[in-house]
Amino acid sequence: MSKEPIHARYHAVAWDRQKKVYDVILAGGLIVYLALFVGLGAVIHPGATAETLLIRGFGTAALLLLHLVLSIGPLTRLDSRFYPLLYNRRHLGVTMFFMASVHGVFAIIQYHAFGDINPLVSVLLSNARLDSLSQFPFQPIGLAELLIFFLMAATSHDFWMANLTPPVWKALHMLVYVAYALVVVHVSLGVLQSETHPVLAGVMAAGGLWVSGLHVWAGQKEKGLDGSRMPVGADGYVFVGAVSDIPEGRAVIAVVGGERVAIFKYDRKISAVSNVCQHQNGPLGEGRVIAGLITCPWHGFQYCPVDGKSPAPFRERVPTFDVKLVNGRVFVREQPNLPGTAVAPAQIPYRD
Amino acid sequence: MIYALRTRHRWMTGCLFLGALVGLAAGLMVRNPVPEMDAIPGEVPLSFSEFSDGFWPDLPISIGHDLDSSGSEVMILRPQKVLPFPDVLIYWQPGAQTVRIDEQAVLLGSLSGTLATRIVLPEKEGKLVLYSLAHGDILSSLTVASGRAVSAPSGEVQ
Repeated sequence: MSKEPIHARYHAVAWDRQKKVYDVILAGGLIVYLALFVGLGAVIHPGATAETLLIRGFGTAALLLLHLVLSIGPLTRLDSRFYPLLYNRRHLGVTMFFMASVHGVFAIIQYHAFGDINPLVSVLLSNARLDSLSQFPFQPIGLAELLIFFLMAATSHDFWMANLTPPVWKALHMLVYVAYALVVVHVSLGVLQSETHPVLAGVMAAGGLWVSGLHVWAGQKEKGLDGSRMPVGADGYVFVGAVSDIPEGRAVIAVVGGERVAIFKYDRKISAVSNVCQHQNGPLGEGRVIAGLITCPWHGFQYCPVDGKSPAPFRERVPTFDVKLVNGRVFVREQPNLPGTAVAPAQIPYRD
Repeated sequence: MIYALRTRHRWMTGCLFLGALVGLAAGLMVRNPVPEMDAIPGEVPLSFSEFSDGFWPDLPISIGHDLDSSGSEVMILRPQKVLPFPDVLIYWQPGAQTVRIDEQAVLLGSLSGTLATRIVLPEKEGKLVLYSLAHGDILSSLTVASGRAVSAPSGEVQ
């Protein structure tokens, strides 16, 4: 097995074997789902047209994928075994946008393309019942959520993250929660107004409770970690734990000066860097030291534990922290060093 | 993730998920009942009778009877050829012994070309009066009772 750092060949954005397997499973699952939906729909509802079955098939597929996309983040916060799902989440999101687009285009053709006005104008203006909740124009809501998904899919590549800058990119992609709220309202005021079987409403409510429950659960766990702040000593150092508490090649995460710091143990050395990966704010402290480099668990971005720099030719840098050991206890200086500042690791005596 | 971002994320997701669930609940609560068919209605009884002629000696109009969807009897007037009068209106005049159209008359329909016209007659006895709107003149009449023609037209016009 090659010891070459992942970052040196930029595997994070390559179409590697794991991504191919991920995408094959995704595409296969969707084909099976659509075939089952349309096939069973035609048998159970022989009066339904093929267009209607396709509109609903693609719509429900997009809805399922959206729930899956939104579940992965909190699931990884709760259990690290879900990280493999996170690795290629962007493909999942783009696929979800594709499914939603087909749903939207088919619906526009079916309901708005055969009049004498522009179909998009028809979507926006054909229903003016703003005074009625049950007959509220739900299709413009669908168009708005589709626009958000388009912006997210179009900017999903790292090229856009680099050009938009991570804060702007992150803010843009946080709109997924706005889009999710719009999707729920779109479904509630749309198909659930005519399809009154309680199972359908129940499934939609269960999906909403599942996603929101996961986020609340994960949020509470994260909030608990943020609240566990250790007092700062007179010398400006904070006790973060015992050397023996840190697994070899891995890290513990501690809150120092209000932010999270990843304290790694490797080759009988201790180094501390910011817990925030420069790629997508991934938790470096949940990653591992591979070939001497801290490797982010989300997409494999790597940093040298000594100076927080990505190996050439990459230029990402994270802040480093001074570290000292006292009788097997690890202390980290509260004040971070500038990103890329080299800090001598604390050496672990052989008695520890 | 940075602490400030994490806090913003928590607030944002909390508010939006709450809003989504409220939106879902509101949508479900305002649903209007969708009409559903309990069972396919039975076969509509056919009671159509053959058209009869001779009720209007001076006008070529046949009369038939049928049932409407609610089971009520309807009369069908069908000109055998285009009438030489424009704008022929069909009135029902209650219990009139003489032929006239007053404020109690009910407009039931009109005749056009050779198209059959279905009319529902009141249960009471009365007269069916054909009136040309263009000529402003009564053309003919027919005594009816219980929805059926009972006599040849009267020539007595008032």
